[in-house]
Amino acid sequence: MARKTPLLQGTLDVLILRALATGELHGLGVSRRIEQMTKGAFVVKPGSLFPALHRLEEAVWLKSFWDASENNRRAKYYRLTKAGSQQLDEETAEWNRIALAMSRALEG
Amino acid sequence: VLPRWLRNLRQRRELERDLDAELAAHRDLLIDEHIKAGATFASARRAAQLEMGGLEVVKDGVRDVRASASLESWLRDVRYGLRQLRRAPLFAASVAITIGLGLGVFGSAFTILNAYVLRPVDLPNPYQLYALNWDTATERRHRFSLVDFEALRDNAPFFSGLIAEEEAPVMQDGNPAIGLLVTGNYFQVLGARAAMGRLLAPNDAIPAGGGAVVLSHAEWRSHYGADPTIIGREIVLGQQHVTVVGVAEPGFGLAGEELINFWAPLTMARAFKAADVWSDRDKPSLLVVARMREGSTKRQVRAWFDVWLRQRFPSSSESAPVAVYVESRATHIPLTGPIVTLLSLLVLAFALVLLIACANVTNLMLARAFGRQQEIAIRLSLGASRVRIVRQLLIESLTLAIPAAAVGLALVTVTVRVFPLFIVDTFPEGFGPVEQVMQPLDLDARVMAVLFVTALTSAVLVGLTPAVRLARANLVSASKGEGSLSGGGSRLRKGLVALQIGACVLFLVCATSLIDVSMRMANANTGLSYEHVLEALVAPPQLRAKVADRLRSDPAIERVAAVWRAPLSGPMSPIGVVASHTRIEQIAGFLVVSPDYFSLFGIRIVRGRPFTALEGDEGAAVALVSEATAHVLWPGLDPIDQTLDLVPARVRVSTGRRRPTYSSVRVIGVTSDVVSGMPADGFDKTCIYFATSVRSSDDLTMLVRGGADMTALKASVTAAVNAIEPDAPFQSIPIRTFVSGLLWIFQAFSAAASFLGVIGLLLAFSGTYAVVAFLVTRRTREFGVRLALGASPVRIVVAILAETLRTAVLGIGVGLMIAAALARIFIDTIPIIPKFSVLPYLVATAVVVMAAATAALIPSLRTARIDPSRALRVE
Repeated sequence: MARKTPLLQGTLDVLILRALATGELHGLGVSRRIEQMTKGAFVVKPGSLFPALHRLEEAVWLKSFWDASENNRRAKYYRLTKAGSQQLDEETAEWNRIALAMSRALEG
Repeated sequence: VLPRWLRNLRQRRELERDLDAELAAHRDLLIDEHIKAGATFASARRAAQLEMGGLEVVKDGVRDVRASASLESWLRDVRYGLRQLRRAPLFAASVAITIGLGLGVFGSAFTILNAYVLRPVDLPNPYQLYALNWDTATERRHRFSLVDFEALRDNAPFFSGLIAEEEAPVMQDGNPAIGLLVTGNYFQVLGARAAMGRLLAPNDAIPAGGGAVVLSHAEWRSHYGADPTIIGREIVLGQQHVTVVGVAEPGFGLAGEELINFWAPLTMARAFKAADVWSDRDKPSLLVVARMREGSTKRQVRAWFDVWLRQRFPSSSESAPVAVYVESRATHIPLTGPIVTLLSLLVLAFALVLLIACANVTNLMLARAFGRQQEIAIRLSLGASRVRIVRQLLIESLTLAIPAAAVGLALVTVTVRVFPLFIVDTFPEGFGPVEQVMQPLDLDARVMAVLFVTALTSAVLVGLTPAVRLARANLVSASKGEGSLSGGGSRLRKGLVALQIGACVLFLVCATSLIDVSMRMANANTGLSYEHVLEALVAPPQLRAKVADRLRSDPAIERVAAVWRAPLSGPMSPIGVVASHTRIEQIAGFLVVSPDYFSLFGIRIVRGRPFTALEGDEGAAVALVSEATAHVLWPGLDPIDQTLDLVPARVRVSTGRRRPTYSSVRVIGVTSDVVSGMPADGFDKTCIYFATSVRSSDDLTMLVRGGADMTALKASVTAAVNAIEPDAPFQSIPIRTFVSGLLWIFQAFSAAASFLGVIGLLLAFSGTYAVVAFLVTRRTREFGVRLALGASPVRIVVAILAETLRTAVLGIGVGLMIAAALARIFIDTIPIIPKFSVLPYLVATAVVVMAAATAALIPSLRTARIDPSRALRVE
């Protein structure tokens, strides 16, 4: 039950939202998509993935539903809600601002 | 739409099932991935499981982010706690019953306290009502004259209403009744409501009186059989024909006015032969109650009233104030300093029962905690945080608060029913209408809140120490079953046992002291033959003299005497005297009696003579002394014709006690020793009799001796009074009724104290027993070793006993000291408590020592049966 630092937690949340921006995915799909997006920099373990998915769902940024998976198993899928994509836009902007500020600070 | 946390809570099961399915699907997808990459099914599954990590950790993580997360975890703790308790039902029951007993005792005491002391009178804004009065140099609680009252009323900035009242005792069909004569605004200012008809209004208080009265509810029921047609009827009170306009609500009446039978306008004072404030407007006979204006404070009122009094009565005036009182009339028992002290002590005594019940249970919990170290150690090593463990253990003891509170509430409910019945059943007949003074015992919101809070507090109190100790446990030694609870824990355990034993001693000292006093009172040989004596209070002196003469001519009456205050009705008044010849100075008890007093009570004149009738009439400067007094003042000398110089009273006489005004008196006789003060105090250490007569103009109690039939005797007195002045008010009570009333008070308190004593003893016994039994079980191995090494079982038992008694002695010492200190406070605050006696302390100590020894002996005898070879294998 150890808490992540807010920054890391925020990072994971943005990554999940981003991963789902292009379409609905199940848990493993989200995890793989993040690996792919970050070129393997982030490997999300179930211990942080599922709490994060459920937290975002509690915040109504994601909606979940059961569906058949690629190899015909049933899996729980997540889809971005309207509020979720708004949140993604906000957080992306926020990140960009921070990233810009940080890189300026570090270069300068 | 339900809030999310509530929905989650309701769909808890489905959410869990959904989560399980989701994780299972995730694992299957992982396996598929690995197989696709070329792994065998078995290795794919292993790899998938590894990547999944601890399933429970993942689930906990998800549960934690749910909106209902914290609530759910509390619920889980509650469920876990309940499961633990279901596993140990005997333990749970004994905890619930022990704490419940404490709660019941404390809750009952609080319910009674609430009804009599805390709950205000049933009037709007009762906390605005204050009685105003003051002490002068010579008189306590000086009253207002009509002039004073009108001046105050016309000049008062902080009051929304001022009322004045005076009592009017009358006879009603041969029985004394008390009326309260009130200003016309009385009921309006108080905001009272009528049960029937109407109450008095300002236009009832017309000059010469309109003849309207309001009956009390009790009077209406007992005297008029709750007649619904009473309104508008003409009745006779004293000799006055009046019209009933209404009946007050049940229980209406300010503090001290619970026994009022009727209310009439103050303008009827002359008709009821009360002090007539209209013809003598300067006669101080009125009590004044004010309703404070909203926003005013008591402090403002007090300051203003003080200044007003000092302006009105400058220090040269006889009525100049030496102490000013503004006293709340919101409750039935005014909360003055000594009353608050006494009540706090009483409540503390009952709270102490709860405290020792908690001490008892804490020890049980500690013993149980010892057995649970391994369980807790496992949970700690599985990653539970210590805070979480403490929380969970506390919740476990809080779940015990519910059955404990139920037991407590059940006991309180029983008390509420039984207590009033008990009082009414045992109250001595003729001592007074106790039903009318009794307040209804309600389990109102305040009582329930106190019960609830004390139940929770007790649960936390008993659970906290064991929980913290457990959570602090050292992982390594605890998981091996070695206690970290042994060291500091045993000191705490002993302390708790000492607390129980100490409280038990305290209760037993109180109980035995009170029983001792009651027994001495019940079996007191007073030396006075008072069985056939009636005390009669006929207030006007001329009337009393005539009644006495008439009674003397009645053949059924043996003797008539008079006394300032009847014997056996309280401690004797003290007076300082200096003996002639020996110059011995002494504070002695005194009585002022008529010549016939001695023969009336059968007090022997040992030497010299009683007063002559003339000495009585003149109040001559002569005195009789008791044998004991003669012994103290003139040891070995003849007391006859010695003189006594009376030490002048100290500056303030505001104690309200009268005293003779002689500067010196001559001793003319010596009487046998009798009991004139409290029956339990025994024969008077000193007693000086001064002379008065039935015809004296002083305030006197008349004593009438006749046959064994008190009703007949009372009828004779009534006949004598009525023959002279029909329906003149008087009161009478047989001395034996008064004595049994006093005795009843002590017996009631003995019963209460004995009750506490028995509970204290039970708790101390079971507490000691449990701790010794626990220690014996724990140290079986040690004892086994000692037995194997050749120690005799007797020595081990003796060692355990000695250890227990050492703890007991500590508790007993503290208990005795507190008891002695309390005795001081009580003796200082209530004058009728008899002096210190050592016997109760010895009895209480003996009982407790025996109980503690027995409680320790029973379990320690088990050690004698220990088989060393088996004991060594005990884990």
